[in-house]
Amino acid sequence: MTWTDEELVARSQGGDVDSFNQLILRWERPIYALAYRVIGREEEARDVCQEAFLRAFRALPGFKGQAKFSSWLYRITLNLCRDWMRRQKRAPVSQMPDDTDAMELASQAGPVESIEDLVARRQLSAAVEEAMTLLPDEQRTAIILKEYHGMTFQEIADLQGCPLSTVKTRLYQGLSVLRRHLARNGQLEPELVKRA
Amino acid sequence: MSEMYHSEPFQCGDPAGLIGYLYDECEPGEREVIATHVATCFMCTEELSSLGATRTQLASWVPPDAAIGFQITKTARVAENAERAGDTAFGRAGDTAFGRAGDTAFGRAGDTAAERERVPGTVLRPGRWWSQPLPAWAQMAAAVLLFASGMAIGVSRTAAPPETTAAVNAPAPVAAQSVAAIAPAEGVTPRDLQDLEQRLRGEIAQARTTTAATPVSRTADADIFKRVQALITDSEQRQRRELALRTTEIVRDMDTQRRVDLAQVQRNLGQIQDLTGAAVRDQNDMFNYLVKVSQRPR
Repeated sequence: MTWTDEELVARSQGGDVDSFNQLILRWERPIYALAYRVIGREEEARDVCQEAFLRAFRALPGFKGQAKFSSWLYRITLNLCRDWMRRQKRAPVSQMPDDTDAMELASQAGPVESIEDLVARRQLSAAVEEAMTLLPDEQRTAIILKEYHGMTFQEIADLQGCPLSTVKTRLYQGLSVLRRHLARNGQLEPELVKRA
Repeated sequence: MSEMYHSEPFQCGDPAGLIGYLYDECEPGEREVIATHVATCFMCTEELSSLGATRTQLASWVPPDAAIGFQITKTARVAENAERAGDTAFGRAGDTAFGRAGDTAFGRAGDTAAERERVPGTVLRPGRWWSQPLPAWAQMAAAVLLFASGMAIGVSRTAAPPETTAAVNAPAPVAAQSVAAIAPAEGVTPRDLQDLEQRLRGEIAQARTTTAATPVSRTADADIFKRVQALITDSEQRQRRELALRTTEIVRDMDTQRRVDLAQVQRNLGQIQDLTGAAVRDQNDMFNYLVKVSQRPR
């Protein structure tokens, strides 16, 4: 039987650790992906992910269910990411060491995708990751939440604590910067780039 | 924080309106207005098209695969602490492991009401280096260390049985005696040396006799020696395996890198050919134009 988040939260609050483990299993990938995309470091993203669940577990008795469990978890994660970035006092670093590409390619190359396609995909992924590091934190977070986590404008506004119009502006400005950068790197057709 | 969608009429190029339209999050009425406008406005169509293309590119960014596997599990310490917590009304709650596949632990509430206080415990980080397999050099160093300590134990056991410890492990008095004997007389006589030699021979012989009389100790030493040898053999086998693995990996890496480089080179060549072709076409056009112009009657 599949429990909803709310049911699992209620059972966890009643002391059922397994229910919380189910919540972790359900949300650890999205939370890790969020942390990785925001801070750009694999190991630290894993730590942030663990810390987020740890905090959630500790704070679970105080969780009254005003928001969705996932939104609450996202908020905790974003706060942790923000703290981490403040501590680091630097822009997120794109963790794409060149020397690991061969190994990753070797392990990823399958019969379906040709090596040329794989190279192109990896290059595009690296270009996007690099372009994302150019964005200010708020714009990057808004784009990540929208593009990769499918949140609504309103949910992003709630998470970021800003008006809805600000979210739209951040998305528009962020996408524009990405568009320019990707075009400059040859990842986007020049004719698709708006002329300044 | 909640805010209604703005209901101002859409104006050409309005970022908020375009973003709402792009993500299909407009108000019902607003969407039709923007759609009608976009159908006739080249700039807005182009803008939406390029933003959409950018979004498509963003989809290619995938985080690396990571072994996460966090979970909360009870540890042995939990039970003990939970019992202790049960004794006092506000005792500390038990512990629970929280980490990747149960390799770390942090405080957790147990089952009793007092334990439901959920007092946070010590957070232990997930295993990193200690959870990784040791490199060959570290394994070798450990084996050598073990071997050396085993040898040292063996030497001390053979050289220092309990009853002779005082005699054998006391080089200082001997040295003191020698110094005392030597110091007053300015030179060492052959007689002194002979005495010393006799004494040392006697002590060594005594030590040997004692060692021979302790077969149990020898057996233990032989066991240790065997174990150390087995460890060294294991380590050597591991190293051989490691070497074979590394060699295979290097060969595979080189092959993959070669293929990637080839693909890259082909791609770059293709781009250069395209550029060269375009340049040649331009030159041909220009040449044809010049020929045409030069042949035109004035």
